[in-house]
Amino acid sequence: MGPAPAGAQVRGAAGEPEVMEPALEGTGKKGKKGSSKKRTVAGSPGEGLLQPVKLSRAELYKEPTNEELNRLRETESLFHSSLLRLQVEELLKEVRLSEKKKERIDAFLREVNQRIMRIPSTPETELTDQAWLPAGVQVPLHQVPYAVKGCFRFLPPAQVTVVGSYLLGTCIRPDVNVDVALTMPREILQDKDGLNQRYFRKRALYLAHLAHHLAQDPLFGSVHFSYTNGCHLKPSLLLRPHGKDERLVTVRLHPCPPPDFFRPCRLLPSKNNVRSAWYRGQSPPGNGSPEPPTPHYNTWVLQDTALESHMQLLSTVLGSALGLKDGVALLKIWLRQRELDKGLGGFSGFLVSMLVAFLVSTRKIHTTMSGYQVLRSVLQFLATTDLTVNGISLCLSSDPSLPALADFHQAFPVVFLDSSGRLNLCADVTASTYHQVQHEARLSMVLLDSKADDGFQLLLMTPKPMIRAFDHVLHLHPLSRLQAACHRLKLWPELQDHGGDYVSAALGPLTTLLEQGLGSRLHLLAHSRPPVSEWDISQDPPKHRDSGTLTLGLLLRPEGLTSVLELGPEADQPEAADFRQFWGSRSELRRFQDGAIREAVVWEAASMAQKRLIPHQVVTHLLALHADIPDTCVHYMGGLLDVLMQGLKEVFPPAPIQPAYSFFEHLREQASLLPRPDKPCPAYVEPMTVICHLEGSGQWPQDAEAIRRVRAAFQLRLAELLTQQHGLRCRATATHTDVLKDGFVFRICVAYQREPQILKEMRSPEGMISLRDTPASLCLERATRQLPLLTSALHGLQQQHPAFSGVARLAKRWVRAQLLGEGFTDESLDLVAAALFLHPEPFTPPSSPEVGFLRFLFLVSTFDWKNNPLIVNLNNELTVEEQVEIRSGFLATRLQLPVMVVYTPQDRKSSVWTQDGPSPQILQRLVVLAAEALPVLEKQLMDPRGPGDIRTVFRPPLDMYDVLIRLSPRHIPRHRQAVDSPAASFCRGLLSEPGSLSLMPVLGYDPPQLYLAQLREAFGHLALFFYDQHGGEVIGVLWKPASFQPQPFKASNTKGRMVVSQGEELVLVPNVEAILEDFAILGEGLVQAVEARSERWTV
Amino acid sequence: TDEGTHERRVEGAPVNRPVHADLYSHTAIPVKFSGKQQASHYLYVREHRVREGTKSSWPQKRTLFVLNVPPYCTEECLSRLLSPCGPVRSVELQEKPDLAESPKEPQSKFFQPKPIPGFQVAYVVFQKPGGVSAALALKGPLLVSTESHPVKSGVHKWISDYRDSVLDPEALRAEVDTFMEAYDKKVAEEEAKAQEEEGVPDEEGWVKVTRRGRRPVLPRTEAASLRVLERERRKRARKELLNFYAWQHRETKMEHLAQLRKKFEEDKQRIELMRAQRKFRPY
Repeated sequence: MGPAPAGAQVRGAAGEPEVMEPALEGTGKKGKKGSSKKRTVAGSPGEGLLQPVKLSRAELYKEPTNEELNRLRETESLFHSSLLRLQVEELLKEVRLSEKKKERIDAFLREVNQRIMRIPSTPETELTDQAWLPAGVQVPLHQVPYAVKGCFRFLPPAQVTVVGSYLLGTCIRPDVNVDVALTMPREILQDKDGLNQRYFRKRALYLAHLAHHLAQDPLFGSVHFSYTNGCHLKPSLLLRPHGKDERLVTVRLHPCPPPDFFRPCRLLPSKNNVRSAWYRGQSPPGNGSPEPPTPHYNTWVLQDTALESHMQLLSTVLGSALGLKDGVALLKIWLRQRELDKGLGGFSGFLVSMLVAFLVSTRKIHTTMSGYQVLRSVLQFLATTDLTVNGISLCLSSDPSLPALADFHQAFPVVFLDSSGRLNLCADVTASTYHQVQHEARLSMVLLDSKADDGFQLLLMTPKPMIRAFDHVLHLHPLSRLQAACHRLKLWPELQDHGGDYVSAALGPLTTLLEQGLGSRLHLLAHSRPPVSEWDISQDPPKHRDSGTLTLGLLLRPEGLTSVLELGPEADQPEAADFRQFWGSRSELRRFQDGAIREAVVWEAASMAQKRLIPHQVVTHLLALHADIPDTCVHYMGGLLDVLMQGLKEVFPPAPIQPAYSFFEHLREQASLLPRPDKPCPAYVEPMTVICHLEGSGQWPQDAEAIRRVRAAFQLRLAELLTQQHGLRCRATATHTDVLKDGFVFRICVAYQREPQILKEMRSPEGMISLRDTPASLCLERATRQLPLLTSALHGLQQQHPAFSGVARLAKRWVRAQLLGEGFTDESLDLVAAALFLHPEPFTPPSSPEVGFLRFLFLVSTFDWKNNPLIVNLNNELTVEEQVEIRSGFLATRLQLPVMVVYTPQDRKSSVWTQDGPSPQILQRLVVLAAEALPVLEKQLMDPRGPGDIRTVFRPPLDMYDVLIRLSPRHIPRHRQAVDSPAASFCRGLLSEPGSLSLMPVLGYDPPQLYLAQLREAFGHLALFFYDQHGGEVIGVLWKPASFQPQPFKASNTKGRMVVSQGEELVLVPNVEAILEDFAILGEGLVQAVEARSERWTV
Repeated sequence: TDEGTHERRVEGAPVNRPVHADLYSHTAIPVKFSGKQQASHYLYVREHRVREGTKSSWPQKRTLFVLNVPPYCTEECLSRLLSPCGPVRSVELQEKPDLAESPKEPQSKFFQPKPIPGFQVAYVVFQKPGGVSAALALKGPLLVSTESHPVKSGVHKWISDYRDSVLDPEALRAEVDTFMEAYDKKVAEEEAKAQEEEGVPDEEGWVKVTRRGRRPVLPRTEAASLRVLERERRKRARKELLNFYAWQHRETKMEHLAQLRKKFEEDKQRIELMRAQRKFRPY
């Protein structure tokens, strides 16, 4: 369900001693601390472990009080469940400001107010004459073009008002901002200040003067400039208290014009307030044509005039309705977890508050609703309405002088008007951001409706960073290329409107272009918003190109990825010209089987992995063609990990083999090849297992030994028939028959359905036959019944989600590369990977292996294995009730279950695939490694300059091992599968050209594995052995500290030990020197060197 | 008897060095793989003795009990190493000390996978009792692999193991046939015996009812008896009326409330745990 305790991840990171301690009793160090302070969980022997609740009958069936009934009823009607209610309450407690802090903030605000009013005035000067500004401060605005008419003088503000979430009580920790509006006195402003950025210039100068004086005050810890919501024309001044309160609060000063100063009709979206003649130094293109409208510019001016009215509206609506405030706080958390609230055009907390106000005014939300219900209603509204087509308005008046919604739709992608009917609150929100919000709202609604137990956790507590949420991510870097793109796309009016901010001007057209090009391959395209940066008042404001990188996230549609063809219109249609224009040189005329001649684009891609990367081709082609952005500036993060899955055809899939006979020794009578001691180890051939169930019949014997003999007879007969009738080379043994066909080897195992049952039968002394699991029956059942079921279910999953195999392979690859492969069965890792597809919430099922792998790391590092089973609902067979039942069964039998519990519909009680491993220590180690690998890999993928060495997280740390056994590559058959593929390897007896094949190749011969089996058998009680079966060159050995304790002399203790006298006593200690030499003896030929690295074992 | 236990502690040996002395009547004999190795393992040997009244199939006085036999040391090896002490009749390697000799019937190489050896114990039976005392006096170090008798290890061993694992199907067929013949015979005999006893009362007059008789009965299995119980229960439940009486109504409501209460308690416990794990920090 949720993340494991933070403490558990930090523990054991250093490695050696912790790894060995039993994790089930020690994982909850944090838990101990926390619960000792508060009430302890009733009678729990294992700390941090959920216990089944035991209530006495008297407690369960006592008469309910009125209060209790009320609470239960309220919980049922206002929340989903009591758990959700408690969770929401806890969360709100965590993000709310405490009263104590509020008092401190209020005191600070009073101080700020006084300081501001005391700032001296300045004499009037021309706007262009800025010599009066002191040396230590820079104007926080790019004054391009510099020349502008008008005069400026500083006067203390006419009014200082606190606006925004702080007053409303909806602000949330950790970063608390208090917005303060400073009303500039009317004397500063002149008529026509709305034109040509004059108002913004004055606003910036006003701030600069303020900043200079406030910076000298010791009250403030820091005085910085920043852009208001990322808008480049509107800086604001950030003040933080000095001393220990520096992190407590940020006060943001926003100068604004006196009320009714600007005439609203001049600021309608269709009006122009930035003259081309001034901005570009030339009259608009085409003589006599009207000036282009400047809707964004107008909105920014209007926003400043409406600060107070918005505040009033919100305080009347939210006023005393606690539920609404809770709802707004929850929505803010929801947005922040999805990284939707920051930057220019973000879906900020203010917008959400206004949306709540809108829904209250349309009676979709009632003031008595609980926070959870408000969250639900807003999400429902976002999921079902489309503000890009049907805008909404808070304005109730039907004044004909007000502009129509349609006018706004023309100027802005998303429309949500405030109560004046003139200001579009969503003016900066791009269509893609809005679609992303909608998409998230839809996902969240599905999650809320699914009644999932952990909905709260997934909805509000799980972060969704772009790199983990989107299948492919691309960075545009450097951003200065976008300036050229703006010119190429002819976006001059937009530049004029945005005050030269080419990044936001180009964003809309670029995303539209890519959306059109990606078409059916794309589910959603999102873009990052430039972060709101802060800068010191003595510095120039950051340039547009310095606002980080532009990152685009593509959510792909798996069904659209299979096609390599972009089908255009028929050649004689008029649309054909558009198509040609859009695709440029890639468009070509093609004749199709139905006789049609059409324009089409064909991409080069053979394999599924290549097809998955067609979006890369599309993006680079379109950006170069239409926006003049060369592919050196497009950093596409997709398919980067493919090299680890299919390098040189050696990792996957299996390829037909063609042995060179001279390389082998021959065993004539069995027509088999044998490895030769004087040659390198032959290539590793793993047969593919086929289970062949024979029909049940009364003829089968009823005795386990006899059944084995009959099965052997079937194996022999099978081999005989296949050889006679199909001419296949077969080799039969007692348990299987190996069949060689077309260079592939299949291992056919005959199975008899009743055999596990016969192995289970036990006869009690009274003659009653009962069925009891035995190791042999479990093993057989796993191999012949459960494995085929699982394989077919996973195959179905793969058909549905083509990225599944990639994710599962990367996951196995990574776990094994960390040398932990021995503890995890293939199936358990497959199931964990399957869980990412079957239960992707709060994400969508991954469509690329990379993002799936990132989520695998996230799941592994945060899943609380101790208190939760991982339920993999294959084929959706389990109902919600059944899952609840499984969970409670899990809690009741937790201590008998393995550390890692994975349930499937076929396996609801015993978690067969994790039965024999991992051990608590190994799982803990994996959790720690995953928690370390995830940020490293994410940072690499989010780095616009390129990911660097993508294999970093696949290289295991070796410093924790006591002994390293270096192996000779000559005898590692899978050497070329290694993470760092060797430059040269050995000839392993394979021919590249096909030929006839009649001898059975060497099967399953893997010296490192044989060596490890011997080591584990002989020294398993003294040490743990770690190895990467995919071509690892080193075996890590970790001594078990417990077995290095001196032991008393007993026959069962002597293995590998020797007697030493310690004080007066004779005790047994491991004979380490001899054991180290044994390592070399047992692996003669394979072992290159045995390096003992720690001296811990010297007793 | 204590005549076999000598104190042979080396004078002046550093405390943390292996002590080449008897320990609880065991003698330590160093053993190495070959002359190239520096350090050695120690075989701890003693005469095989059992407490009175305990049965053991190993002959008294002539059996040497060896602990800590290294994995590369096979039965043949041990026999060769100990033969200087006297003719060796048999060597038996086992995973754990076991008083009974392992069953003598040879294990089928087709159906029993070859076990991977670890450190083992051995019972070495000499022809004469003198062999045991000679062995106890051995100084060593014994060398497992010598020029004249090399022991395979590592790659050579794996290759020869692989060769051994490729078996002759004809031999397998022959073994299966013999086994099944014997099995069929055994089954037929049992069948005949059961036929004979069918319906014949024993000396106390009881007749055994089997599934072959004229009126066959259900086999006595646990599953079958559970099935019968379940059927009975369902039959009873069908007869009962639901929510018919007022008290039943009351009880259902109370039951619902109890469920809610239980859930609430569970949830509270969960929250407590999550709070302790600081799971309410959203970011």
